[in-house]
Amino acid sequence: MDKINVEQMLAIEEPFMKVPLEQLKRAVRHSQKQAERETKDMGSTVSSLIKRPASVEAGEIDGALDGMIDRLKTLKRKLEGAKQEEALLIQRSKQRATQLNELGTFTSSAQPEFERWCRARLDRVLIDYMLRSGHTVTAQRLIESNGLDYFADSSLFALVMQIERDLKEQHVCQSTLQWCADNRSALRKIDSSLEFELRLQEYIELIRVRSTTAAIAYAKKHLVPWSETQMPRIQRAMTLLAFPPDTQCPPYKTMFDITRWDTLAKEFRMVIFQLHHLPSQPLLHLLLQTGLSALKTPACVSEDAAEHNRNCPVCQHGTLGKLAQDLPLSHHVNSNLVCRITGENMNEDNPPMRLPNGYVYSFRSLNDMAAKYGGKVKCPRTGDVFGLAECKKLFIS
Amino acid sequence: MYRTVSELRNHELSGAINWAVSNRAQLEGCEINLEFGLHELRFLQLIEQGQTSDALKYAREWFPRFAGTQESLGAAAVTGGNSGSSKDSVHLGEIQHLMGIFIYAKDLAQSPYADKFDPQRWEEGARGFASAFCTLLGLASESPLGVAVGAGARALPVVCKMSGLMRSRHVEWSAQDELAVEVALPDSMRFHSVFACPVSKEQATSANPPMMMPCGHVVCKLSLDRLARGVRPGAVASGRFKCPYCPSMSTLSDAKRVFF
Repeated sequence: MDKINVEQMLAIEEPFMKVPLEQLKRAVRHSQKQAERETKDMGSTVSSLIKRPASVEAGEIDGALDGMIDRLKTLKRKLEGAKQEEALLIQRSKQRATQLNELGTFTSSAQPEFERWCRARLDRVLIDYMLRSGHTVTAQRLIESNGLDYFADSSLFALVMQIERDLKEQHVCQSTLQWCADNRSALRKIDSSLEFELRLQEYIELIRVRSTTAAIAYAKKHLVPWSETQMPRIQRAMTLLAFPPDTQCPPYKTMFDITRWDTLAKEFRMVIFQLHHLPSQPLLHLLLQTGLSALKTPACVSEDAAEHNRNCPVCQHGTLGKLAQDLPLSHHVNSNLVCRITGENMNEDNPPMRLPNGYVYSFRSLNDMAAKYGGKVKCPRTGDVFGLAECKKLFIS
Repeated sequence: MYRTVSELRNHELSGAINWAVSNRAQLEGCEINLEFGLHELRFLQLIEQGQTSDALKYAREWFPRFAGTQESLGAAAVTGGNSGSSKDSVHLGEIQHLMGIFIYAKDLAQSPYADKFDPQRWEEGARGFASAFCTLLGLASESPLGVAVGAGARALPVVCKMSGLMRSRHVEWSAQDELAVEVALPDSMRFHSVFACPVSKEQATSANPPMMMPCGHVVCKLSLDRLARGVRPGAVASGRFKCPYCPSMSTLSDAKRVFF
């Protein structure tokens, strides 16, 4: 049981590696497109200059060439900036890959290096949770104190936080629409209607302030492109023009509802996580659920306090135990016995021994007790005293 | 506790050693070898700083307690008849090993003792101290969150795989109060005894407790009843039956209840 199953451990680390790699792909694609666009423009300007009749003045050609040089300089600057960003992302991916590679070097789960790696993983999981919930300051402190800068996606979550704030508090779609424009092809791939929802919301806001002409113009410009897939909703939206903001008519009342902004924010969060291959729930939740379930035994939930082990997380009734209340118990097809006195595993090296009163302890603990008390052992749970010779070895096969 | 732990992280041992000495009896009762570990750290610190005579004085002052008697420092046999002599002889070996450091005091990096000066030892010492402190306070010795997340890291891939398989085979999760798959946990994460009957593979409960047959083999009560009834249904449950794992015979009344 001390072996480490590397494949299984890596299965949950997918988002860890995927996020910087996705960002890198995106940055490279963006700078490539930029470069292509500029070179195409350059090419067409050059060919138009070449084709110009000889009557064109030298000054004009000079001017055109100067313009081209300026544009090339700007392009160079932009590409250099992009290169730096990409180098940072590459560095980040490398650091993460090294961290995961370390797993392969451990031979046993009892090694202190493995325990250190697990603690680093716990830190990562906690940082991810804190960034998701908006506790950015605490997350930053944890990152700094443990040097985990490469392992945290702070910039991504900062963007999420900012856009959510704009949506929930400021009721402004601008930043979100900008993000949608940047990621249009990716959004189309996952068939997301986020952009439509945002446009719809802006339209509703225009109606709320009764600027109906502006609303109709807006609808013409932004809602019509979606008419293939969203026609029923567009029709309903047009009908909204006829209703005042404080209407009680059910379908139109919900359209004016302020909580639509919160729904938009949630939708955005779901979409951006999906695009970046992040799980929708924080990894901490998933790990705690499965971990507590795997640790939970009937003894943890029994009324008898003597059954509780203070080292067992599920027996911590005030904290983790409460979370574990509704979780299923662990499943076992093999026995695993733990001595109440020493907490050691009872197996062939340290067999379980049954006292005449039925209670079982490990061979080693009973031996030590007998050595101290002249051949007698006392059951810690009942207080009965017996001779060591009266204890019977058990076979659990 | 946090004060002492941060002192330890700054390589300052006096607070920790004082605590360990004043709680010596309790620590020994819980079989925690903290005190010797702290003395060893101090000894290595003095050697590292080049104060070899101080190191020797320190060793003379503190190590004998862990080696049995005063004279046995460096000697082979433990002559004193102290209780827990097996523990002391473990430390005796370590003490003998440490004494050899004096030969290499000038050139530690090349010596066989180089790994003793790993900078991580301070962090591990701090953790050992925190763990012992919490145990004496009656708290968990390791962070429960850490243990739960560690267990989760082992359980989550298994559960994911299982749910994927179940989905592809259109099987529903039947017994919803138990996970459908076993998760292999290391011994350090085993906190309760779990008995699974070797015959029926079911976990023991208070309604179906483990029972011991006179030969020493343990099966759950329901399996025992089934064995006693024999292969023929409706047969009387007072006959003798053979244990599934050894040739010895027993009866239902011979079987005794077992409490893990």
